[in-house]
Amino acid sequence: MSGALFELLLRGLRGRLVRRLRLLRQPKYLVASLAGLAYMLFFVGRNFLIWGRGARRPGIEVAGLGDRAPLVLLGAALALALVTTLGWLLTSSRPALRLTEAEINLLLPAPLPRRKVLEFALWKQQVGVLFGALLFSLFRGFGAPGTRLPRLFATWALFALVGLHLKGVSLWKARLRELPPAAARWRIGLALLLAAAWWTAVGAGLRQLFVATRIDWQAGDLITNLDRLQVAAHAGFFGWLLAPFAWLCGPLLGVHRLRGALFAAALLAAHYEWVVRSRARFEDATVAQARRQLDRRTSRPAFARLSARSRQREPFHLAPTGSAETAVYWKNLLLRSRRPLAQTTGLLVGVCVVLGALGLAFGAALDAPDAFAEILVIVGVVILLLIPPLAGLFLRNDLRVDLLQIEILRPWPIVGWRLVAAELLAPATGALQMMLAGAGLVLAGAAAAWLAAGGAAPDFLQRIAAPIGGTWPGLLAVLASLLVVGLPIALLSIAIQNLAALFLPGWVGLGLERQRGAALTGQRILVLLGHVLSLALGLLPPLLAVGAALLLQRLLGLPWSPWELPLIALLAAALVLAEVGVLVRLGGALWDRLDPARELLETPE
Amino acid sequence: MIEIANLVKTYDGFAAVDGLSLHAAGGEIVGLVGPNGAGKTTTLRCLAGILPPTAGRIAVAGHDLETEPVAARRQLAFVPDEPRLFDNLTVADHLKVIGRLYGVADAAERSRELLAGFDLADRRDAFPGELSRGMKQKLMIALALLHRPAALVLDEPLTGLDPGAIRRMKRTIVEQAQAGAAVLVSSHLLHLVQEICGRVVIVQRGRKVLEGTLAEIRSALPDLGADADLEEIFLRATEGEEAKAEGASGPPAEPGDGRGDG
Repeated sequence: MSGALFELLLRGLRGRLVRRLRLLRQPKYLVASLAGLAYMLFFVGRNFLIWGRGARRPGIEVAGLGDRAPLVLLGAALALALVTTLGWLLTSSRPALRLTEAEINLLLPAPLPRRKVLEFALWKQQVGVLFGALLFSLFRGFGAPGTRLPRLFATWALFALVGLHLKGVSLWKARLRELPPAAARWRIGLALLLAAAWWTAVGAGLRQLFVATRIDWQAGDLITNLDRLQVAAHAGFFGWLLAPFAWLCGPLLGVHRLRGALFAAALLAAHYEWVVRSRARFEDATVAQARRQLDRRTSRPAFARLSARSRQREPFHLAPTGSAETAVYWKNLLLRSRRPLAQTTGLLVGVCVVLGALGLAFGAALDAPDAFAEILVIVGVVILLLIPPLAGLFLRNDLRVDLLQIEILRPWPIVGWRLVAAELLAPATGALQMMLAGAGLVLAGAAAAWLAAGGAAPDFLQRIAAPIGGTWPGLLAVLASLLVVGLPIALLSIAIQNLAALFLPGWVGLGLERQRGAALTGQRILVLLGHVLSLALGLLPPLLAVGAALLLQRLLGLPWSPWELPLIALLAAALVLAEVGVLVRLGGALWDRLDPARELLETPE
Repeated sequence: MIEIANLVKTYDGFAAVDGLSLHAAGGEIVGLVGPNGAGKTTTLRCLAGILPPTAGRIAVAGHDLETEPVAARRQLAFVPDEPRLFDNLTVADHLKVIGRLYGVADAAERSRELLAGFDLADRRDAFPGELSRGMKQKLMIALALLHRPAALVLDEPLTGLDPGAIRRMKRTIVEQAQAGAAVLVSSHLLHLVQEICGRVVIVQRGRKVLEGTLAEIRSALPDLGADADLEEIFLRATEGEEAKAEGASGPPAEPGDGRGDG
């Protein structure tokens, strides 16, 4: 990279740092920074800082995994191989460098070789990648003092390598579009042939492994079988094929340190040259991406391709008069989809019915009536349990989009807290739809299993609904309870994220989509940590209340009734909703006081 | 209809607007002019409720923006210098949302009229990304007029418009005033201000330098000719202030938001 570009990189980093440090002039940012720093020092970083006493949290060491270590390493290697393959399949053929509009206007017309521009874009990402690697290492444990730096390097190398590899694949695909069709076909054919040969060899290796160890999973002892499997896997053809991936994963698990570091360094250098020597055109996609960033795009590109009829669809009919909050809700629903809400619900019901029918058909065809149905039920339960706490992290059609449009919203005749309340409704609707889909899957699976069993309650249904009798009414009560308590928890999760965006807008990534890329790993870890802590704090009072109610019942000697579950869910839901109400009022006050001139209201680069 | 009294807006100690007072009565068009960094856009953004003032009082149609924000905003329409729209909402969606927010019972009929008036009738189902800058500006103005505001605030309203649209825009502003609205226009196009505004407020360094009708201002500057136009008056007034400010320290431009020029 040339001296001028290095200077630009340094000054750009300094500028970003200064802009964020200036936020610390505001007491709220200063206090939040100190609190975050204190947390990191006392709960996460103490093992790292106390060099003399050694690490208390060694992290995941292969040695700590006992006899299963080689198998874990091969599993990690196989997962990395799978991710790499998926990268080849899914990476876009329109490579976009992460450059700002200003950088494009300055650098692309400048008399610079394209290699320099590519190098600038790559190096610009590395600070974020390094920060992400540092945080990742801190949270998963740094290990013993002597291993800390190598482990940090290994983590950074893996993150950077994945980023470089995907960029290289994207440029390679873009280059194919520019080549004569025959040449492009030849290269694609070669790549497919190599991939197919490698995976065939891996498949053959796996088969050979299982045959060689003659494992009878149904009858044999699991521990003995695993021992035999891993010895054979590590020494055989299978292990040899996965060795490069294992060397990359090894340092993260505390093995292959030197070999892994050398291999990662060599691969990084090779990838770097592969990317910067690419002759593929990246300019169009880069300009388009920067334009999207500049325009603070909130819509999906698909919107622009909608037909005239689709453009006239709306989630529900918005009458010209009535509560202003409904207009905000309607507008935010449009951020995700123009499909009418009733149609979406009908679609969900239809999908669940079809899956239930498929479950029944597969069960009958495979002579395993419960197999597919049980999978449906498990997936449904997982959705019901995971969506509420995580809704705030991935459903973002709320203030996190509208803060970028504060110029439009601020003059609207609507009180702050009512606006904040209205902003929560659209993502909560999305969460509710997903939870209903989860409940639908459970019902579809249960119905399929019930029909397959000729009307008898299947075993797994009895297990799931065991707390209240293992019956159909019991199952319905469990589902109703999960929905009753799940929706308020989803609202709380969304409210926490919106409050964070209002309180510290300069720190929260705004926009509809979460930003992608290894460079933002660190930020994502911090956001997830803050979210989990806040949510845990928020759920503590309802849990205590429920515990107190159950304790009181026990002390009074009252008998347990299965139908208490929905009542308990209602008690918890009421308390969570009360907390959401407090957060909404607080958010309203923050909205009224928010001074856009003193904040950094922007999507992260 | 629009009352601004002793408005102060500071950014980290620097006063972008420093004790500015102005008013616009119903049926009156007031022009707000000043050099770059004078505090025009900040003043208008405070008036629109976008920026909270550091001190001072703002009232719209008798409603204090601080104590009765909803009532005040219901009477106000603000057209910013840059057309800002929701990327995922079509032109028709924008009108629907704004109609509902302001409770416009005849929103559908009025939307049709406004779209036809601004040559946007065939762009009803277009997204903002499919509109030119001028079309976006026209849509912003249509949205501002949808609820028949008592006070209309426009920041550089002619930017990006073609000559035909400029003529229509001028006519619209005058019609709004004739219908009884108080109109406050900020623009660097001094001939526009001279042509349509009954009164002019010249600001510099966040303070009011001159205010009045063109005739009143001319009489306040007797060394200018009786036929001096607003450009001459503006240059004279602001150069005079520059000379006075010589030696005084202070940032040359308004910091903080980086938006607008005034």
